[in-house]
Amino acid sequence: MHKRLEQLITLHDIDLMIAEIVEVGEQVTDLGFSAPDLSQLEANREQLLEEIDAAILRRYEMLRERYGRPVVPVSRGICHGCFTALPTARAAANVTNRALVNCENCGRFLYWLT
Amino acid sequence: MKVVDFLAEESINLDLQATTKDEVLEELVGLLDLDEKNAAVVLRMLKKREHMGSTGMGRGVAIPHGRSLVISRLMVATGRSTAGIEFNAMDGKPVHLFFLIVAPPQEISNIYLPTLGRIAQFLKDPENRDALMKSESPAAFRELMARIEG
Repeated sequence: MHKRLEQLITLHDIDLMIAEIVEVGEQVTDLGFSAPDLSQLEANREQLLEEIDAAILRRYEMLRERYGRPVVPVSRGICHGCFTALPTARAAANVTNRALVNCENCGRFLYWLT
Repeated sequence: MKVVDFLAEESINLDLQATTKDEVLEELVGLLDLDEKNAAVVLRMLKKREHMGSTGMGRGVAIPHGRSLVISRLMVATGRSTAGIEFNAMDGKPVHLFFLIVAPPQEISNIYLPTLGRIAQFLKDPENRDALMKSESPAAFRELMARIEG
């Protein structure tokens, strides 16, 4: 897997966790879990940001602001952000996630589900 | 929708070998049908989740959980340790029963939280926990869960 893609997926997963704590944190603590310490996660996020290329990070944040989810899976040649079929050659070219690829239609970063 | 519907027999390990928190997370992720790279991403996510607050709920139970981009459908794995594993649980006691739940960022049927709730609920009953601790095989464990869930 491309190192930058791996970093973006990790960042995306952290952002998912932060969003979940904000949105449903109370429901989760009601189930009996201890209240998650958001500051730890935010510190992790900050640390990760320092490792990511500035131009990629700008694009990530721009896409996050626009769509909420800046990295989306590709399954059966379809971008699961805008649900547009990728050109056949493009869909087949990156199944092992060796490159950092954006959807030609919506611009989101793409991750091929294996 | 029942928890048991997402739990394959191959995803049940009744004899966990792990002795630490990180090891048990790795062993549980290994029970999921994921390739090496995706398993590493999920493991990293779960460790981060644990760092901000343990999912050890006390009474010998932990339910590590989280969403990840590399997951395409809700998956459950379960593990049991007779000796118990130190997991920073709320009551400070070792954990014997682990249920791992991972889900994609979004699901059409939104079953992630209800699944988490369902597991947390049936593990509150000491009779259910005792019965699960005594199951002799993954098949029996799965059958028992199906009975518990009705």
